[in-house]
Amino acid sequence: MNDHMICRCEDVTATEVRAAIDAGACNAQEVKMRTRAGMGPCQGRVCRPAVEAMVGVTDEGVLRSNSAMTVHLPVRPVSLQDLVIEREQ
Amino acid sequence: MSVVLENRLTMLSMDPLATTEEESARAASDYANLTAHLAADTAGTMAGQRVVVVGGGVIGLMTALYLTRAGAQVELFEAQSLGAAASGRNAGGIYAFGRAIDEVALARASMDLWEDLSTRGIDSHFQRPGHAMIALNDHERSLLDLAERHYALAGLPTRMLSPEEAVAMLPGVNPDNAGALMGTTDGQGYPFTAVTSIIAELRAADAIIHDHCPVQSVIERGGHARGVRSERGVTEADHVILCAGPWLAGFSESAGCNLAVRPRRSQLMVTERIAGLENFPFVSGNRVYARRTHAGNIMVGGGGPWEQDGYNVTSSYEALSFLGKHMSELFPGLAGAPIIRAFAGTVELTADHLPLFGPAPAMAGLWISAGYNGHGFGLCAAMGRLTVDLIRSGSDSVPLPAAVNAVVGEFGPDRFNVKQGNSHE
Ligand SMILES: Cc1cc2nc3c(=O)[nH]c(=O)nc-3n(C[C@H](O)[C@H](O)[C@H](O)COP(=O)(O)OP(=O)(O)OC[C@H]3O[C@@H](n4cnc5c(N)ncnc54)[C@H](O)[C@@H]3O)c2cc1C
Repeated sequence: MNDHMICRCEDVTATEVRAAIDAGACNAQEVKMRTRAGMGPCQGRVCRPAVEAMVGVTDEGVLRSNSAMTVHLPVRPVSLQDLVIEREQ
Repeated sequence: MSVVLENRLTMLSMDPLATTEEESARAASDYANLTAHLAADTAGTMAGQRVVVVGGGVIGLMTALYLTRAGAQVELFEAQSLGAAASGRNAGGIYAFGRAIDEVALARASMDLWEDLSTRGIDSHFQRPGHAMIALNDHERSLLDLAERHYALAGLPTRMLSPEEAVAMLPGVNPDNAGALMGTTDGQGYPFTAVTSIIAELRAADAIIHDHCPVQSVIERGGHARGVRSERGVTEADHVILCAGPWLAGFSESAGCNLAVRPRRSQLMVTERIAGLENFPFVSGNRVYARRTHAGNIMVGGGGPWEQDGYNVTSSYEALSFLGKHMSELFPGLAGAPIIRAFAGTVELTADHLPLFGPAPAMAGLWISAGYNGHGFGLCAAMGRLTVDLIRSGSDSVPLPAAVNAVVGEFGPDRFNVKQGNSHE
């Protein structure tokens, strides 16, 4: 019963996240670079806690690096042209 | 009243007025000679040599890959996460079109190597959808007309698109464009999978990789580099190659020359996946550039001297607004596309926009490969491969082949010493 969906936006399963960690990913950002978890429309708002919890549990039982998945602007999707209009106000 | 029309062509690094036809024709013969040289198999040519690679960006990783394929025993050190600096924060463009004419041969050869790698185990999502430089005024169009002639002489396949053809081929483009010049063989790739599969091949070939482990110093004995020091202690090697990107300047003292690489922020933003743009090429103009990722998002970028120097990689509202404005003008049809992510990376600039590639003057066995001025993702395949020739030129007294020297001869890492000027011993 390992295959929970971790990132629904990019269809990344727990098995894939575990495989990334086994291949050397040691923080959520490194898992994202290997699996795309956190790169969809919600930008990790759903999966970030799960990915961070999974990297926390390495064989050594510790986090080797504490850098978390980067939180990217914008917080909510905004269109190309809206970026402009807001500036002009 | 005459209106001065601006040149906002983002990617035309070539000055079509200053470039001569001889230089353009030489780009074609340099490419042919380099291609012939690269056809030789390197397997085993570095057997028994121990090489330490400093830096795990695409340059260091690709260098490690080709050295390993040549039989060297490689040990790579990365201070932070592998491939996560500029190498994981770039637009993935792998192109030759738009380059200054003396970079065209090298950039073309690098595209070919990326293609070759993608058929030999490296999952880079490499494809060649081309690169269209879009003119929005007559001045830009006349520059593209001149550039077309030079790139044709250089052997790069190009195609001039009329404004109507541009509208048909570039969905969403401004219908009032003044035409576009397309380099039809330009490529692109996906940094994350490329880096992941290079790491996998290196590990499978018993190369040793230490991430989160900065190199503290280069060890020298008897005028020769003997290895490096890190928190793991001393690692012995016959050769050390510095691939530290914008951080290279920190090694100036060890190298015995002014490794003048300057960090500057550059920013990108990404739309939601957009259906129906499957053949969208790399596009540039109006001070921005954009491409479609393999997943279907459109990525928009564009830096410049207005950006901040240094290592800050937070997105700025000014830059996102700049990108939004200029991209909406260039592609009004995409102006409503939702932006889901924005990020920034650090480009590595040199005063003459050429990389630093060659021997360090301070000691034998110390080599430099960095300072790729925002072109390092595309160039890393060629630079990694040519490092095999470079290091052999210093160890087996095999002189650097003429075909290689023709394309990297200007990249000597000690060339900024004379300009240093303000030393106060
Ligand atoms: C927004 C943006 C868009 C770009 N778009 C493109 C593009 O479309 N096409 C293209 O070709 N290029 C592009 N580039 C440029 C490209 O990303 C870089 O040229 C390339 O990644 C450089 O690779 P590198 O390995 O030299 O440097 P980096 O990726 O910066 O890697 C250097 C590595 O060295 C490590 N390091 C430093 N000091 C030490 C030490 N003492 N010990 C161990 N490790 C150390 C660092 O931690 C770092 O990981 C872009 C760059 C940015 C920022």
